[in-house]
Amino acid sequence: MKTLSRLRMTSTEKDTFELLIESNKGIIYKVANAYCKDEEDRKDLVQEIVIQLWKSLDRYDDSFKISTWIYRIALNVAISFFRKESKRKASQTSISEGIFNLKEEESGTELESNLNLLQQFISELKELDRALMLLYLEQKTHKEMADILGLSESNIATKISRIREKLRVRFSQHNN
Amino acid sequence: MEEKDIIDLWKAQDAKLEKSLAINFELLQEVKRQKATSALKKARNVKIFAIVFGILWVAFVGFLIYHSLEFSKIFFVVSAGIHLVVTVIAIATYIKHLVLMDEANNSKTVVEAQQKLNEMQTSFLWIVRLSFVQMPVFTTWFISFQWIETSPETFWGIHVPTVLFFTWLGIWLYRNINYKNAHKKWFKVLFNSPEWTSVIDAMGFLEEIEEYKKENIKS
Repeated sequence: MKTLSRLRMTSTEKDTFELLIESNKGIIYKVANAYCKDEEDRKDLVQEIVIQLWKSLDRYDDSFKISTWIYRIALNVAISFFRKESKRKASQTSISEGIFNLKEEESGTELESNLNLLQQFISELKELDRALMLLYLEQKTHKEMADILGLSESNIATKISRIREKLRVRFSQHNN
Repeated sequence: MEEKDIIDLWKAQDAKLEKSLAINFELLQEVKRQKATSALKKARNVKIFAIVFGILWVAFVGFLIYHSLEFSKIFFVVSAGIHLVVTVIAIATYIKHLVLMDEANNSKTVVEAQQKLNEMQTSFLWIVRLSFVQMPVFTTWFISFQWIETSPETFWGIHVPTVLFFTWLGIWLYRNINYKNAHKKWFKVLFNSPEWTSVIDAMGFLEEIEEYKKENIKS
C-alpha cells in the first residue's frame, strides 16, 4: 500500500508534496474535469484542490492509501466548488495561470470522440453518482469506494450495477 | 461498446494524461508558501462584513436600551430587547459558521463532509426564520402609554390587530419556511436572490444525500 511515509522515503531531490502531486496529477485532473467543463474554472478548481491537499497534509491518516485520501479531498472540493461555481463566476475578474498545463493533442480521433461521449455521460450524472462513476472507471474496489464515499460496500455494489447499466445503454444508443 | 472497452478507453486517457499533463512547479511553490489565493476563501468576506455590521448594530441598539430603562418606555425596551437577542443569536451563528468553515475537513468521506457543509449552509435559513418571529417587535417598539390613553380607538381598533397579524405572520413563516415549500410561489418571491438559491440547493442536496444513505439500508 502506498502511504505518505513511503513516499517520503522515496523523495530525494523533489520534496514530498511535489512528488505527491506529480504522481497523482491524473486523479486531480480527472476529478476536476468531471466537475468543471469550463477550462478557466477547471484551472481554479485544480488550484483549490492542491491548496486543500497542502493544508490537509498534516492530517493525513497513514491507515488509508494516499489515493483514498486524495480522492476524498479532490471530490469534496470539486463538489463544493461545483455547487458554488455559478455564484463565483459573477465575481471573477482575472484569469489565473494553471498548476496543470495540458499540451494540445490531435483531436477528431475515435479515441477522442469516445472519450468525449464518456465525459458527456459523466457530466450528466448527479454529484454523488459522478463520484461513484469516476471511482468505478478507475477500477477501485468496493472497499476503496466505500472508504472514499462513506457508504457500505453493499450499497456501492447496488449503485454500481445501476450506473453500469446506464452507461451500457448510453454507449449502445450511440453506436446504433 | 462493452464494459471492458469503456474501462480500456478510460485507461487510454490515463496514458495520454501522463504524457501531456505538465505541472507548473512555480505555482506549486506558491501554494506551499500559502501565496496562492483560495477561491472558496473569498466567500468568507461577506460573512465577516455581516458580523462586523451586526456587532455595530447590537452596540447601537444596546446603547438605546440602556438609556431607555424606565417604565414609561417599557414597550421600546422589551421590543428592542427581543430584537437584540435575535440579532446576537444570528451573529453567534455566523461566527460559528466561520469557525466551522476554517475547520472543514475535506479529508473526511464524501458523504460525511458534504453533509456537514450543506447542513451549515442551510442553517442560514434558520436565522431567517428566527428573524421573522421577531417581526411583531417592529410594530410595538413605538407604543406608549400616552398613545393608549389619548387615542384608545386607534390603538385597540387598528394597532392591536396589526400587531396580532404580524405575530401570526411571523409564526406562520417560521413554521412554513422549509424545503418542502421551496417550490411554492410565495417562497420563490421571498427567496429570489442567488444567495438564497444556493441555500435552497444545499437543502435539496442534503435530501439527496439522505436518499443515497437510505438505499444503504434497503440493500
